[in-house]
Amino acid sequence: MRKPITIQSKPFELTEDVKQRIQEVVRLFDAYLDEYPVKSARSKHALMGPVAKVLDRAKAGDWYTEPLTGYALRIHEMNPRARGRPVSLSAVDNLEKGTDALLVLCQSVPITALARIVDQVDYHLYYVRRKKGLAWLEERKQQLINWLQERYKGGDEAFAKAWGLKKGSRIGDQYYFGPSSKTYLGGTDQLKADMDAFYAYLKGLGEEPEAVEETEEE
Amino acid sequence: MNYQTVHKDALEWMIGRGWKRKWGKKGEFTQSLLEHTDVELNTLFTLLPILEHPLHYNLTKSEKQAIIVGTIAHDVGKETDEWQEYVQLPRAEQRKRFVPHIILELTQATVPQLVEHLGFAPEIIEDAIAFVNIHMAAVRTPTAMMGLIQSRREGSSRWATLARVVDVVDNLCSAKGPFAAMEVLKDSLLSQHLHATYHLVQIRGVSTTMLHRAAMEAFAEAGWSPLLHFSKGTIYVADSRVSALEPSPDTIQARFAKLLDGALTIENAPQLVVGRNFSTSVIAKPELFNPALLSRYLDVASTRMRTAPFLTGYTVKPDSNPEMQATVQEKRRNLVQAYLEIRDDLPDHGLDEKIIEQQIQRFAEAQPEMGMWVLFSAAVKDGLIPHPKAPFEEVFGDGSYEQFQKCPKQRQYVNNMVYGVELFWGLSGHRLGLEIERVEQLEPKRRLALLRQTLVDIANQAQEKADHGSVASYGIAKDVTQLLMVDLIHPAKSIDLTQTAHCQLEAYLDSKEQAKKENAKPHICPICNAEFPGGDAAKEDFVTGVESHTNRALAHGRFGYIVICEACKYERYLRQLLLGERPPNVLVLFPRMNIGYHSGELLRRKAIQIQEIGSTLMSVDTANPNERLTLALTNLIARRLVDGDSEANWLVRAVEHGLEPTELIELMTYDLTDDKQKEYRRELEKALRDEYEFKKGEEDVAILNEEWETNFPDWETAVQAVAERQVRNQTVDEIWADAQKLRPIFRVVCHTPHMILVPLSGVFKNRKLVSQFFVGNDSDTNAALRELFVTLLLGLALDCSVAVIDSGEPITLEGGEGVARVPSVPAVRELIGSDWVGLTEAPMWLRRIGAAGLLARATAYPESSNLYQILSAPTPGHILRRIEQKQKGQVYMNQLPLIEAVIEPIKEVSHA
Repeated sequence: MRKPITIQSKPFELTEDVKQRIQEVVRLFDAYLDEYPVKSARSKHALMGPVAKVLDRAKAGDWYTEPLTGYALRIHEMNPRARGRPVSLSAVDNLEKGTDALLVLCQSVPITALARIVDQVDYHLYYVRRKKGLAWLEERKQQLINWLQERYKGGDEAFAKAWGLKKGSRIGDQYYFGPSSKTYLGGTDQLKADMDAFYAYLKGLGEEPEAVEETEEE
Repeated sequence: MNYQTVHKDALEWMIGRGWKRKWGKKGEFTQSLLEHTDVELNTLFTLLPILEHPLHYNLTKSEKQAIIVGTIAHDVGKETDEWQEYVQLPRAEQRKRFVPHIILELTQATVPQLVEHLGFAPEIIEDAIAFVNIHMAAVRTPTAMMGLIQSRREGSSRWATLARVVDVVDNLCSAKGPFAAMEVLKDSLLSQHLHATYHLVQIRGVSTTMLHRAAMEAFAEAGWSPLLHFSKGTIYVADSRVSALEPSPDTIQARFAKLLDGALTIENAPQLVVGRNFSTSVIAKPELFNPALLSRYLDVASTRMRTAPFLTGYTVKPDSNPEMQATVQEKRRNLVQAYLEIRDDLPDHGLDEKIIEQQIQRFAEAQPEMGMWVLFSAAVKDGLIPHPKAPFEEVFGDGSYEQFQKCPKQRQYVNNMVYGVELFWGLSGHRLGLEIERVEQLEPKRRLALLRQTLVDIANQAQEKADHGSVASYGIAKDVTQLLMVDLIHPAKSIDLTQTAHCQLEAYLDSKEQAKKENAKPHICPICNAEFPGGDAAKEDFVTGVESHTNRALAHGRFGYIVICEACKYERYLRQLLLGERPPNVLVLFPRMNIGYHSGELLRRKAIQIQEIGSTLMSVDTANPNERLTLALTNLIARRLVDGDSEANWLVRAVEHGLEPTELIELMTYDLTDDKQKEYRRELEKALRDEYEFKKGEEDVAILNEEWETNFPDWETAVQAVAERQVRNQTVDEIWADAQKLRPIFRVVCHTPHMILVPLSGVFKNRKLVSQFFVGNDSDTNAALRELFVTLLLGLALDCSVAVIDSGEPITLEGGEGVARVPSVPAVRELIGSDWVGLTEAPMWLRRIGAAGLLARATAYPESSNLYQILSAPTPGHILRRIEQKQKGQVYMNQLPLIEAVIEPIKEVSHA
């Protein structure tokens, strides 16, 4: 009797090399998204911008760097917030390099591990972006509190009355919200006036007050 | 020179330099730099009193100080980042890029600081520096030595010899195991100044801690000082000027027997000896029966048959279905009829309900006494106490012993009543000096006490009169000691190795066939692998999985219970005796490889201190009844351990400094929620009502005031006073502690520096007693992670190896394994990647599991597996997204460090 043929299937492991390549892809996409108009969002879809589409298609295969980058750029341009703001050359460069590195990575791993690799890129990038978004919001929150303290000279009572808040509301407990938020749209006239002034103040500092989508804390 | 003060100051200095989290040894075993140096310092403190003698080295104070400083600082070069990086490389790579740990500049800078810290004279600096720089034979090259000779200005004239003392101590403490250490000592220059010997045991379990203690005591008595403890034994030294003889195995055995004797008569022994179910087994462990404890056995027996459960079974419940009612009616009638028939007292007109009820009540009242009679009968019939015919008949009258012989040794109500209880109840009160006609009329509690005393007196008289040749005399401790002495490997009596090998071979040849057969043919014990001439089938009572698969008996014999050797059986009996009633698992603390005498004692004291503080907190004496201890609530422990700013971070303190017992307890303490406090208050009220037989709304405070000698105006005030601990007596204390669910969750029972055993209480899950690490619906995996978290914390805080073993599991830990053993749950072992967590990974895993505990609520994963799900998430983004999905998009900035503690994110890159 001939010897039985035995095979051993080894599960794909994330080697150091693969980890470094994932890290590089994340770094490039992160750099690109730094120039994407949405800085903070509660939905993953909004936060990841065109990169989400790139990842989806990379997983599906049959795409090359240039068309995929072009597809992503078109999505970028279609975002209403991006209108009138051309994509910078460095952003295009990062997007292209990131897409290329991703496609190369996808081709170098077994097909069975493809979804896992793309998932790694997806969620690592998401974490990095979300963390930046939270830090951005935290910074704006502090700026808003300081600004309101200055405006109302620390008078919590006067502030609560002007903004139509419950008795006992404190300036120090406020959070940042954008001009399209429910809080802004449903706020008192004084709230809107204050926030408009604050948005103007932010713009003066070179910030984009509207670079936040659905950011209100409940 | 006060060595204890020097030790304390030296520890402070080493901890200050971060030596607790730095590697000192890696290879055959792992030690932190602090541990390694501490062991050497301990060893030196034991050696110096001998070496300083004028007939040995005649050491001056300066020389002693220089040797101490040299020993503490000898590995200072290992604290550098380069060496730390080097030591963690694989061995093959280490060869390619050697990093020395003797750095002259570092020694030059460090030694003066240390000398100043210890308050020693500056003149010793030059010697101490030399000791550090030439403490390894490899660096004592002619060039180096000549250089030193030329550069020396002051110090001892025999610095080169003294430097070799530092070298020997280093080699001695770096040896893996007692044999290797003995070899170092014998081949060293100290051999002419010291006698050295050792005791060595085979680790079996709790009996090993007693054997260690017996050996240590015997050696100390013979004039030996313990030098180094390993989990398997101790090395001892004595001054070579005096003749020190090794204690004989018989001396150790005598001490061992004494310790065992004490263990066999400890408080909970009767609970284990007396069976739980009197209809099947009355004396569960006849081997441990000690007639001297009969009084306590009888007490336990009186609780095994109780009035209330009897009445429950023999009372017709009006709300039960008619069939059930008829069955109970029939049972009642049958019992009474059988009883009256034996007594020949059946009424002519037959049984009516009144007679039945009257007799059932008598049976119910007789239950505790019946329990005593059943036990006494079993003890007599099994030959555990001599036949007490004469003293028995002296009390109960002529012919009574013949009657008593018919009293069954199991629970059989009718015969137990007629041939036991009624012999006693029928006694004349006047004869016993009581103002009643029959003993039956006596108040039940007094009657029970009287019966106990009567039976004990009868047994004692029988024992005195008995011919010792015909009855079983109590010598169990001696027998058990004899069996367990096989674990003492040195010093031991010489054996005929050829004969032993022959016996082993013979047993091995038949081992498969005999594995599950109870006969007198040679066996191999499936637990300890020793050959033995036949034994008993293991019971589930003391061995887990007695029917489980064994490689032996693979193709032979029926599928029965495994047969284990007597030594293993008694080891398990002892565990139950010492560790309490079958704790589901035991926490074992032991040195990572070796430990010095002083540090060993320190570790032992710390364990005892933890026990003392913990037991106060978990008892009626607690100062704050709303405080509780937990080992299982990972999030509560992690709250302070992982969270918080760096200054207050307990984890950093645990890793870099170690924690004191009070700090450890503080970490594990939490406050009850308001809801829980209210619940316990309600339970207290209910328990008080039950105790004093009050119906709700009909509480009589006058009864309480009379019993408590108080003056409460109403029930509410009285209950409040109990809740606030203003009323204290034994009954109230017990009720209060029960209502508050105050019970010990661990006890430190066996402790020597070699091994500390801490039985952990269990919790009931689906009616099965399981480890206390199960919280709510925890899966095995989640509970294993909680267990690992606590063992890591203890291992890091107390600088020792920690493992949790199942109560029936053999203890096979030898030291050198790591900080904490990973529970044997496949998913957890796969997650961690090894069976033990080592020194480097321990803080990381402690932080990871702790952070997972803190994120558990926010991620809202199923309670059964939340910790595992978080820890096995592929990226931090997965955890973050999960939190957002479950918390309406809400995630807080302070959750991000926790997520990053669980999984390190890809490093952020700053973009221009």
